[in-house]
Amino acid sequence: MHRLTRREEEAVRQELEGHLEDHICALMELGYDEALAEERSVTVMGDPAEIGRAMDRQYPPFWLAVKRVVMALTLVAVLLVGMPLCQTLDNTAENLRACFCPEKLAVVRDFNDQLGAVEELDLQVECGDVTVRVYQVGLENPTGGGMAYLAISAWDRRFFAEQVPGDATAAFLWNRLELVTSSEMKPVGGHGWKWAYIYEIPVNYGDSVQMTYDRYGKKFDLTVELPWEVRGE
Amino acid sequence: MKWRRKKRIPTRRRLTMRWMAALLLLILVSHALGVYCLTPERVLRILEREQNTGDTVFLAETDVPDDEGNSRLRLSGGENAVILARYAWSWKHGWYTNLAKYAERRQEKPFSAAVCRIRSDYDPDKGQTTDTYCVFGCVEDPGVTELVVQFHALEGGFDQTVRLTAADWILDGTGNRFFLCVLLPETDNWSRACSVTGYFADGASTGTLELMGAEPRWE
Repeated sequence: MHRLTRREEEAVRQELEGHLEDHICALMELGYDEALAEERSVTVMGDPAEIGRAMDRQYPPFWLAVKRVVMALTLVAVLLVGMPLCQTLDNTAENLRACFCPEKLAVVRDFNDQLGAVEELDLQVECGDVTVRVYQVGLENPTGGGMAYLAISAWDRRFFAEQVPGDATAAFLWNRLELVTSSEMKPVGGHGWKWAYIYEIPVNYGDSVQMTYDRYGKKFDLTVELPWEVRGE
Repeated sequence: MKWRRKKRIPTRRRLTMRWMAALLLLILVSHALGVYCLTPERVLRILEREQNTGDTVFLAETDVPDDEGNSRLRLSGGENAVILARYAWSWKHGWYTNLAKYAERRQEKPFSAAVCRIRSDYDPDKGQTTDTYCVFGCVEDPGVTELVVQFHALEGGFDQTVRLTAADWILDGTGNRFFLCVLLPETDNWSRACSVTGYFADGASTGTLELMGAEPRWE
């Protein structure tokens, strides 16, 4: 056999040996002794050269060449798309994180010591394929003015959405989201990740925060009440 | 001695088919996830998702020669946005875009427009920079019969004025009228203004939309 690869040769050899052993076993069950059974089995197999030529004909070189070309192309494809595919999975992980476990106000060092009141929320609104959620609000001074903190996350409901290279999940949203208080004050800063953002907004006592988005035919308007406390006498 | 099970040797053809199926699956998954786009339409879907514009359709295209070879400038439009993007193909990346500009449609306005620099070339021998701009958008008001695109070269370059009429509209089959205006190349233009003014059939002006800057603004 000239056209077979080493694996194919090994496989053919094992198959032929298997056939021989099966035949030897069958003859021994009929009462032949092992040596005679082996001799008869080899004889029945036929001319080894003819067997080799027949095996060669069963393995045309065309498919071997095509297989090797396809294997090479597959390897190239894996190298080309492997990294971007991993980034897509990374994007999926960010979507899941935004949905199930975004950062809390308490973990942000700058805000931790300045929180007089914190309230868990679950205000959700849909904007196309993206869900926006206000999940936590905090106040520096719940009985007076000061700073308020709004924690907002956004995720694409298609968790395997296309990766926007180098960009945050729903970046279009963070660039166009408008927040304003009842006293018409706007955010002065914040802390952000790809999947969530904590806005820092100056507020007067009793203010609420209006969150609006209006772009490309999609709009929403959400009022977020802050956890004010009744002032003491 | 026990009976031995005869192993089936997979044929070369079968093995090749398996590898081809694996390659095909990899390519299709990559296309579906937008990692390796096999069609420019897939790239357009990614652009739509980037800005959450909603669906658009291809309306017109033209060649944009550049150093890397011919890429295609394509205009696509939908209910909420008009997108101008430059598409190119390579075996390494599939179909991809290296330039995209969006014009938000505001149907309460007479028209929507945006300007995009589609090409910038620097000639080191002459020390010159040549830029090519393109104005595109959608005519919202059915009474608007003419748009006048004006490029004001404030420093270097030269002024350009282009009049667009009904013959220049690009229709999408649902009554929407889009337009695409590629301006002449400007050499060593360091400062510029670009505006579009619409006119009704009776000659009344719709107002002027200034396109340069962070956002178009009406004057």
